[in-house]
Amino acid sequence: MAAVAASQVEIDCSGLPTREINRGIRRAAADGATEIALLHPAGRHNLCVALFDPATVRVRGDAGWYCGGMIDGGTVLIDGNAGWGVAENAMTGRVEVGGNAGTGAGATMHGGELYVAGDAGSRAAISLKGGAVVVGRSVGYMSGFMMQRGSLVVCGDAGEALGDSMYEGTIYVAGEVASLGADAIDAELEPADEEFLRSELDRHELDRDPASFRKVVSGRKLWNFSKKEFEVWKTAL
Amino acid sequence: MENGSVDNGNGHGPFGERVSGRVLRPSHIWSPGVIEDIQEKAEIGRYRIRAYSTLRRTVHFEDLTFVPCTLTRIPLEGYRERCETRTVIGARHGAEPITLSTPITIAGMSYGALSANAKQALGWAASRVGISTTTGDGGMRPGEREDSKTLVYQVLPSRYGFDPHHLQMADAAEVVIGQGAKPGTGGLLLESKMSATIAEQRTLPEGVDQRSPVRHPDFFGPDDLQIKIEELREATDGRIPIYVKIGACRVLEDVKLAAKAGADLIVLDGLEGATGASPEALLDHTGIPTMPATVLAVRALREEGLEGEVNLIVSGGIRNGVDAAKALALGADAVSIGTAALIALNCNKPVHHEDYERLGTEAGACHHCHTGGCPVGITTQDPELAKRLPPQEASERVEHFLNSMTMEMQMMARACGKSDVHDLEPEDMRALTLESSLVTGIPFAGMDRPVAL
Repeated sequence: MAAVAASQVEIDCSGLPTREINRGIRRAAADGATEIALLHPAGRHNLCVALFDPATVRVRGDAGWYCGGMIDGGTVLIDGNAGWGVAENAMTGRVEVGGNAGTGAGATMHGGELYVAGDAGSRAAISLKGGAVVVGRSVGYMSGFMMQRGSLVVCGDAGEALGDSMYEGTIYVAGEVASLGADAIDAELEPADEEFLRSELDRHELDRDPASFRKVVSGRKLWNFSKKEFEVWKTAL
Repeated sequence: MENGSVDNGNGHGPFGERVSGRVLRPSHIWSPGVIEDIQEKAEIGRYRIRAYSTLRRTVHFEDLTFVPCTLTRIPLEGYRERCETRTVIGARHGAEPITLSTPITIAGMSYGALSANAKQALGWAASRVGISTTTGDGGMRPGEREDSKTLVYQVLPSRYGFDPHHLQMADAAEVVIGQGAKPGTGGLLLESKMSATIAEQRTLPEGVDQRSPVRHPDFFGPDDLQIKIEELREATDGRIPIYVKIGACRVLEDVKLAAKAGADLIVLDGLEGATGASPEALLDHTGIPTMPATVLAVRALREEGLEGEVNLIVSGGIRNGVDAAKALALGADAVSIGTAALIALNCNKPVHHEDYERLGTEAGACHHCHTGGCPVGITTQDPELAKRLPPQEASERVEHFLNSMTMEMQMMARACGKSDVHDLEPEDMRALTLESSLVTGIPFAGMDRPVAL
């Protein structure tokens, strides 16, 4: 671990066990470091997991699975791509991916924000419980599956079965939607939606017109068992 | 029958006499039960849902009997000589192991499925006895950490209420791949139990019929599970053991895969495992029973050279210390109980008869946890019903029951000449049925060798 400035620390991941890297991050943050750089991450899994300190960790390269998983208060900036489950179950804080993200980006996040500059794989924002997942390009199939609260913003296209079985929450898509999932329906874009979108787009310098987004919400036909809705239920049970 | 004789199926009574009047010849295929089932489904328009476990007879621990010491073995004195029950588990990867005073744990049951009083009573009883309890879908109930001295935190596919701070407060984490009552499917909590409190804890709308996902949101197969387990170790700095819970299906393969993925301990839940709500078809027609599943799991670990290194807890249909002792004799390190603990709380107690009647049942045959109308305040979110379960009294009943289980295990072990309940072994038993002999390899009573194909 090398100190660049009093508040800046660099950790060279080469040859270090993941446990030591994560311990190094926590130690540095506890010692007051506000910016921690991980050098040579080499796509390693489980970096910056359960980071509860208000430090910013920059991963200088690609990260493997679960980078920034379970964070609460920290910021993780990934220069490259991220594997499955980036920012999974984040409570608060921010994770940004400069490249693309794998399956389950932002899975079960309770709060905070995940921004993926490129594409996200299948099941982005699956079981989202709060916060916002913003994707600069497209998302794969079954994104927003069983979403509970929060927002998924897709500036490109969305794959099949978007928002399948979502309880609540809102999905915004600027491009094409291959298909909506069971009980996912279109809704009118309201001024509050456009305001939210403008704020997110401006923050990430994304050139999109908020008014061009399609809004998808829950049809709420799956909230309770009903023999009247067999056509919906037979695909969802 | 008009004349009181019983029709034997061909228009004649049991003594060959003609039966006058109606001739009742119920079909085996289209039995009254099947007819009722079809007509119920024709009314509700979906599969039937109920709680508890399967109603069918399974190959069970009761099909085995102990053969204690006689002239060939020397027994221990039942009331004097020490018989160890202490159980240490979860040390495979250097985490702080879990020490149980007796090889029993309380299975994962959610706050939502159970009332707060029930969860509290279980926690207090387990803490006094020195065993662990387990959270459930919805995460850690406020106060649950304080109620349970040793607490296992479940990592479920839904991640309802999953909080990494709670994970770090736990003594072990349990990644739930499935459960014995309904393997291959997710949890279910019906509208009547989805109160405002429970809904908020799960980030769900109040009053929905909650259907939990079955697949985890961020991993699928065993290779993925390995990375997930490593993530949980990173989140807890390797301090706590990681369990993997599976419903008993392809046990030989599943146990090997879970062990390879890095589990410190495998919780194997058999067909008799219960639940707060499930499609009935799953309860009766999925999974394999706990007793043969135990045999397969032990064999799997032995074949991998991991017996004793990866611990095994089995659950599903464990009713007393004798069932537990038989599970230990087959090679389990401990058992987990759910239904038995609820029955000790007061489940199916013959009180408040009118409320059993309101549910269309009676004490002794109630499996209506899914309705939320539990007459004894255990599986309900109705504050008035929950008052019927004062946690202090209820916890004492569970404590007494747990102690009785320990005494029964010790009694069997001492009678078999063992000074540690974990020293019980298959040779201490004989099979009472051909099936149990076949699946365990234990000699059929009266034969000197196992029944084998």
